Amino acid sequence: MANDDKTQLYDLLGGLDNLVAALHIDALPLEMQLLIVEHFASVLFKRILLKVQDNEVESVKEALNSGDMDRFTQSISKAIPNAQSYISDEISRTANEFRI
Amino acid sequence: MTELPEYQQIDTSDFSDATLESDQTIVEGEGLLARLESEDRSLEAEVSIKYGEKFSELAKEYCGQKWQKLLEQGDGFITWAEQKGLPLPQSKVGMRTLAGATGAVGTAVPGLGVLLPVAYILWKRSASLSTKDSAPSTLQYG
Repeated sequence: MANDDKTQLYDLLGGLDNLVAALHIDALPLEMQLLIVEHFASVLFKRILLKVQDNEVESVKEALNSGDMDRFTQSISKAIPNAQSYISDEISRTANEFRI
Repeated sequence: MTELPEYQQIDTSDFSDATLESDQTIVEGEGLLARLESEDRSLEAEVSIKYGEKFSELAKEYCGQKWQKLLEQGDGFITWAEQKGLPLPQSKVGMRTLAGATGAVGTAVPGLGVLLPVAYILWKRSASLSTKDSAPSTLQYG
């Protein structure tokens, strides 16, 4: 496993821990936590994809098909106006909307 | 009414409170899950219109490739993290995900395909997640 892959997996796991803490779901049974995190991820992912400008849709699809996370995040940054602040706001908004 | 001997007078108040709290938490969890599922469904149609295909199809290649790669090569991860002195996940979801990636359990986490990019973005943007009033998290990552 290349170090880049390990680092990415590490980042993923860190993101999961943060998400569980932010949604206040740590006391729930594991299977329920998994379902909540899965749907939360799906909702957040869809909201971000829907914010992509129409003329950038194809480039985002190509980035998705590449399987490269960094390429995807870069393509999103170009495809959404003020992407950095938007994504930060959307994460906070969605986490506040869907927490216990 | 016959008074019970002292050894039978078990104080169950703490236990009852804990049970109630647990039941309440489960109810809240079910409510949260229902709201998320509803929102997820309503967004599905919009994504299909904008991208010309179902979301699951759209994300399948991207997420499937990455997850497969982690599954194939994840067995060295724990050693790598330990050598670097990095903490392993503290949440049950994180540990279950790690167990799937390292082959410690036979199956990957269902729906993890979608979770991968979102968790990655969440970590990159972790500062925007407010955890000040939440359970202790592992923000010392990285």
